[in-house]
Amino acid sequence: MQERRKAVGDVTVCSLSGEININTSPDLRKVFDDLISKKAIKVVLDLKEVTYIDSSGLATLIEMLRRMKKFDGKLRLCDLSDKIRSLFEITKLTKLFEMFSNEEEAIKGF
Amino acid sequence: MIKKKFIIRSDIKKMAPIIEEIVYYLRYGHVNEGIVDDVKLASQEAVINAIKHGNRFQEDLYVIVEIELSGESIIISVQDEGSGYDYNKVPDPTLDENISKGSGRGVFLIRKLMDKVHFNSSGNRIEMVKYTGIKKGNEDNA
Repeated sequence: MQERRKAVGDVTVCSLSGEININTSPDLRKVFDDLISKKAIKVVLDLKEVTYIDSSGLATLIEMLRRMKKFDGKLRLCDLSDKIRSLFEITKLTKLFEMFSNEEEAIKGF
Repeated sequence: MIKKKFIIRSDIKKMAPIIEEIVYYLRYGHVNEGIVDDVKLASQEAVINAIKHGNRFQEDLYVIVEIELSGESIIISVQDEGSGYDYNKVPDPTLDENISKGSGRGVFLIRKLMDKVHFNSSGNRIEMVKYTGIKKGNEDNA
């Protein structure tokens, strides 16, 4: 898994690529630790280039959402492939995460 | 018909070659990519459960993975040496009271993604079936 980050105004856009699985989830957790230490309160996770996610990856995203809520932070997801989106739908995590079709839509109205 | 048996120690790092081989066989058999993804995820979740919850990461305990791929279906079984678990007691992770919990989605995903799922009575072996959508006799033309 790889990560690229950019600031758009006061929003941090974090683009992930590759697989988010039991082996790469610790790397993702480190990304989140860094974002939280920097008090990034508006975060968009761009999942366009994420090819695979397992239950460990989903758990890591849920953990991040919980941690951000503690300091009124907001985490949004965007650009999920059909395959990844279907996993969120099957697990009903669509109830938990705000999901947008692209980065612009996710940033809009933050 | 392809039949293979893998025996690995309870180390997550040992899992990748097995999953890669399963994916290789499915692609070699021209199985639809969506089905390949489902089998890959379900297999990975089953092996992780066996290592993590079954054998509790004890590297002296083994996980046995068997695959049987015919044109029409793939059957994957995963067995650990743990004392077993009642998989019917895994809480539904989609319920509001569980939706924010970090765990409990592995077995749920397996059940959703595979066509048939069976646990043995002692709860340390899972057998999963996925139909490939390829009709018997058409394997070469799929």
